[in-house]
Amino acid sequence: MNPAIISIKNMTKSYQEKTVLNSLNWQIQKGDIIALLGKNGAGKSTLLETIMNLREFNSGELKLWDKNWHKLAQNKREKIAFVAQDTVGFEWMRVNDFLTYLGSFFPTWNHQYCDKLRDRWDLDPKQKVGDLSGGQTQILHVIQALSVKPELLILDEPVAHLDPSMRRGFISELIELACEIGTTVIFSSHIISDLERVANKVALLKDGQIEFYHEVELLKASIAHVKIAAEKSLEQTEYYANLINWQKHAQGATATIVKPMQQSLQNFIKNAPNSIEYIPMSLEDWYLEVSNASS
Amino acid sequence: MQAVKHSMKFMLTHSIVSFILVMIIMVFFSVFQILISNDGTPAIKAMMGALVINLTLSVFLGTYLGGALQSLKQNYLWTINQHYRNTLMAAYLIIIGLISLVQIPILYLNLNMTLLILLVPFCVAIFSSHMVLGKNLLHKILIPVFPLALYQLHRINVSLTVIIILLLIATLMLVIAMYLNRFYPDNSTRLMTKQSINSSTAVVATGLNLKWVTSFNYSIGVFMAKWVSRSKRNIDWAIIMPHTKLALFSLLYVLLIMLFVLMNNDKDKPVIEIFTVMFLSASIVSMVMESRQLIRQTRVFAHVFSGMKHRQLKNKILWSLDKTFILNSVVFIIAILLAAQIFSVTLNTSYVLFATLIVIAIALSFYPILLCLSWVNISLPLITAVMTYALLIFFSVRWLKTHTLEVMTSPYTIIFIVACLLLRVITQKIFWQRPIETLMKNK
Repeated sequence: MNPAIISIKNMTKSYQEKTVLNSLNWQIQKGDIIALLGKNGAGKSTLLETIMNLREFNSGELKLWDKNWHKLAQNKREKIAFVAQDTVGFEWMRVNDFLTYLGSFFPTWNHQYCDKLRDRWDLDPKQKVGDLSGGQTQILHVIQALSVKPELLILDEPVAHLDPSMRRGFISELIELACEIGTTVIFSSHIISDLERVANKVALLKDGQIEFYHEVELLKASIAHVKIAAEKSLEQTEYYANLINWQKHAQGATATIVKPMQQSLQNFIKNAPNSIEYIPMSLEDWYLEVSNASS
Repeated sequence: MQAVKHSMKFMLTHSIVSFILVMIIMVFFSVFQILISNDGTPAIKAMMGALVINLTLSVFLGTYLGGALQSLKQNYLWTINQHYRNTLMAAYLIIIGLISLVQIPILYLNLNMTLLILLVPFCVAIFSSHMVLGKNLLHKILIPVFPLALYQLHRINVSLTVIIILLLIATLMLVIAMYLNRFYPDNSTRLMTKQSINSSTAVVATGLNLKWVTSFNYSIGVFMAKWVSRSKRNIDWAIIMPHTKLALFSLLYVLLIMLFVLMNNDKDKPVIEIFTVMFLSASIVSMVMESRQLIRQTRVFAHVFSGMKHRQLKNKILWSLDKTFILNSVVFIIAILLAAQIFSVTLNTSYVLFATLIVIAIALSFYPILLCLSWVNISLPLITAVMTYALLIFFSVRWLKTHTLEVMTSPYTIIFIVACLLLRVITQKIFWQRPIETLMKNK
């Protein structure tokens, strides 16, 4: 296993009465591309900004490259890039001035790559940042983050305003970057089809904790709606303990498998005491099931 | 009627801070007028004093409500829904009408001319709204100064009654034009949705229109951007607007002060001295407000700076503001002294210079605490901090007025310097302790 690039232990973050992160534990390995999911208000931005040291947490521990933020070496700090959810600012600058200015804070800034991305996404270097559309502004900030050639890239809803073509381009750049320098990426988004294309791991933030954190492929192979046949209404037994949304029917029950089990889905079905039919689920269906299910 | 009531409420409360300020000014002005009417000031002078005070209040009120109406006009309903437009116009006129009614009895105390004069504050408020509502810079200047221009007819012996009747007709026409949306931008939604945090502060600090400030920022910013990339890790560009860096508003204020002095034609040096202190004290506040809103632009690179609790970043922010404030103050004071020289206004130069130093010292030692506060909503800590800052300056400058000659030898000077240094240490420490998230959030 790759070494942990981010390690969070028992992190708690509260705003007055409301606890947003509740003893959260999370280990993120180098090279992972992680899709962070969660309902609106679940605390995704809080978590990402806390990882970026832009928010202070109440208790717990956060380490990047095994160091607390204040002990983090300068050369490591400069290899982190961040795109905030709200990307306003620097409106008086022209696109090129904006990129040059922000580039000056990052020694690893790659000017050729930056120009390439800018041209690829049709941003006029002479256009004022304030005159860009919402999507263009967002892509400008994405260009800024990618041009750092970061080792750690944190993106808070970076594609919300992008059209499908731009989103595809963004995804391919992320993959390219991850392959080229092994960038670790955490990004939150509500567009799950995009996450499926790029992420190798998916994390679900719920009730202030990372409730699910699995490899996407493994998850996709494991999740399903199941129909369990029986002669009469079926109670949830220990064998089915990991299933959620259990609903009894006159002849059995229906339920959902939302996380990989110790055995594969096929073995689970084969070894079950009842006959089981299953319908594979998309990641989007999975998200809806788990985010709406009560803890 | 319910919709009108709601609109009135929105208009009055669209900026609580400004609203409370307008209310405070109104009470202050009212008391002042009652004092004028009772202190034996000659009738005509008392009337003119009361009128000036009332009209100033109307200008404040008009600008405030103009801003409210402008923001409500952004909704597409203004263009397509007659009811929405009627409601807003009714709410706007009712508020101005009611507040003008309140002004009438106070103005009446000093009245010694035509009764029609009681309607002038209403008209002036409507015209002043166009500082915000006007379509372009020309409208924003020409419409609000129209009442003043009309008053010049007095010089060619047109009677005051005729002038006021003309003003009333013009006001009526203006209201009709507003209602019909003539010579107003139909929909400036695009620009307003692109309303930047950069522009809004300049608007608050200067009372200028957002569209104009945005264009101005763009032009200056684009011009200045040539030098941006040279200064590596210079966060000035992220926390201060180009016009502030260039001290352009300082120069603009000098121009306004000198215009005011020249228009009064009495080479009034106390006015310049008071304005100098007022401007310098207020400029650090507007600079802090600007930076408070812009600091969040540093989010993308804040992590590059080291230190516990972002100490390095915070120190750079303070250093940038120190530099900018000193530069603005120096530019302002040099411009004031030069302008006074050119227009032959006699100034107490040593008083002006010492007052400037006092204001700079207090401002620099106090402003880190102002940076810690949220400026979006009025709060007890905010009021306390601003009042403390204002009182510190007021008492120090008042002491200076009577001790200008002995300032270099007075032991109080040493105490003052030590106190300022101590205050800076304390306020800076408080700023260091402030979590970065509270500085970066805009609410």
